[in-house]
Amino acid sequence: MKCVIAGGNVKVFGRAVHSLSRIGDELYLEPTESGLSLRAVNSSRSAFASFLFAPLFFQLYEPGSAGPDTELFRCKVHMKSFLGIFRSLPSLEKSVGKCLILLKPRASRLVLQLHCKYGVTKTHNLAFQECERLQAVFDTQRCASRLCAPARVLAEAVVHFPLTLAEVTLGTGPGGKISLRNYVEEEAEPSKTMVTELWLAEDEFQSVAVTPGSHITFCLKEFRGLLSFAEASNLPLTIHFDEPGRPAIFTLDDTVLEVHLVLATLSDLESNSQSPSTNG
Amino acid sequence: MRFRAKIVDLACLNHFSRIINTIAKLAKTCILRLTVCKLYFILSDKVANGGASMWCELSQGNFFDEFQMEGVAAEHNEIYLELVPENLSRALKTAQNAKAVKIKLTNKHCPCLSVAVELPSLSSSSRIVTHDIPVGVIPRRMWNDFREPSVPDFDVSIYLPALKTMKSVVERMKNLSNFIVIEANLSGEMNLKIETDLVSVTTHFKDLGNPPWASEDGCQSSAQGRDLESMAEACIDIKKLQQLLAGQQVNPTKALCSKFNSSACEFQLNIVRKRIVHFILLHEEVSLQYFIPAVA
Repeated sequence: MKCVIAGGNVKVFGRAVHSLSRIGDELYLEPTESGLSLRAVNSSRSAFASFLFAPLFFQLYEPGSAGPDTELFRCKVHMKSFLGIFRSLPSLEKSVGKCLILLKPRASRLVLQLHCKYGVTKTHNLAFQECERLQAVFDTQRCASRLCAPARVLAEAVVHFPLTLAEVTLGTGPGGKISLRNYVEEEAEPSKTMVTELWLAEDEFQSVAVTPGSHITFCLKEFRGLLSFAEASNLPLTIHFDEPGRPAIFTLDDTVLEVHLVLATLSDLESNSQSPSTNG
Repeated sequence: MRFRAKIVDLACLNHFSRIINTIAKLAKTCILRLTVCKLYFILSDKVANGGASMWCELSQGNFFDEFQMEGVAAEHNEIYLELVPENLSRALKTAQNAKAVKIKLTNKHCPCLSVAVELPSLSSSSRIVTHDIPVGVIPRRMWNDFREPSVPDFDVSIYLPALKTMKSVVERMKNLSNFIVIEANLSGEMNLKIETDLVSVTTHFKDLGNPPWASEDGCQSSAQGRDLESMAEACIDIKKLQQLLAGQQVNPTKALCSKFNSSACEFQLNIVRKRIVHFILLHEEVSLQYFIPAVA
């Protein structure tokens, strides 16, 4: 596989890697006919993210040729090593003109070459491992509810919750309002925990098609990674969800980019046993 | 028992938030005392607090546009609540461009101070964020534990230097020692000293100015007879001093930029030789007193 990313897209690619680094320790690369897919999964298999860059995103895109018996080559690399190359987004923007990615299966090396200002070229040779296809099972069509909002609205909503908060509950309320509330775990003492709840009006969203009274609880930390990518790219974010326990799917769409984040949600069994047995 | 209050002015909200941030740096848990005219944040000198105590007093009229309170009983028209000031600080942190902030005493799963922030939004209706902060209601029989600390007979009273300078000196000293000696005299001189087996460091401040003694008949003569050069010193836990200085978010210069155009913001230090150190921050809308006991 050989591809070249030019100009402003290098920073977009870097941002995607930052987003994926919030999910898992390994970055999966899968060149396909419809573009280069970058994926990550977390250790408990409760979060999966994929960024699919269409051929048009690249200045040059050659996925390589699949033989009659072989599929296109897939591999995974250490997230830290890959992220290190795109660590500083401001300096990517300032000094990198082009990024070349070259997969040499026979040499066992993934080569990333950054062509920078003043004739400087930085070449990184990363070790990789062959791997199976990483794919989460999900289908947005089977989700009963869907919300679409500008990333900015969601980013402004999430700012009221502390960075350390693990889980948040998204719910639908009267008058079409959408709420976000911090999830208080079973073990936490209710008389010691602060509860924060935010209400958003229906017209803050681009579209709302939800089952009344529905709610889901998912990990905020993993969602924040996607949210900062969406905010920087100024793309609207769509949330597809169903019953508690079924995964929530967050998507971003663009002409040259398709992003999916799939997060497990708390099932009602767990959240029901958590509902306060108020001993007064 | 009822309490509801509202802040609409952004400058007032900002100032109130800064005070809460200061309190949050000084105390993990403290008492909020509400009366018809004032709010008090109180930390009593229990062993759990390392012996340090705090008394902060605000006039509600300077901050709130609406303030209604009904205490436990007609003759005791006050409310004492125990809370974690960090929670209140967090609730106000993201409210800095709010249209209005309402605070109410409620009883959800337990007694709470509910902070409702109305935020501007591009849609037809505002965004509302509510924070339910759990509080403990202090019964009347315990109110005596939280009386205003009496001002002890001080050996020396002096104005502090620029907080920024003092803060950076103390922060560096904190790396070398757990205890710091503060000493000052009536000639406007103050020293901060640390001493370990390997090193001793002293920072000298001059020309600080001494506040005038309160003229009580007995005191006046003893003050005049006092040696102006003699230093009164106390050795205290350096962390407590550092927390106090780190929490101060006021403008270090004397003229304070605030909506009320207040003049000097006084930050004063009183020392009782080898016993206690007393910091007083006096401002038009708020006064803060912090007592740090001397260690043996």
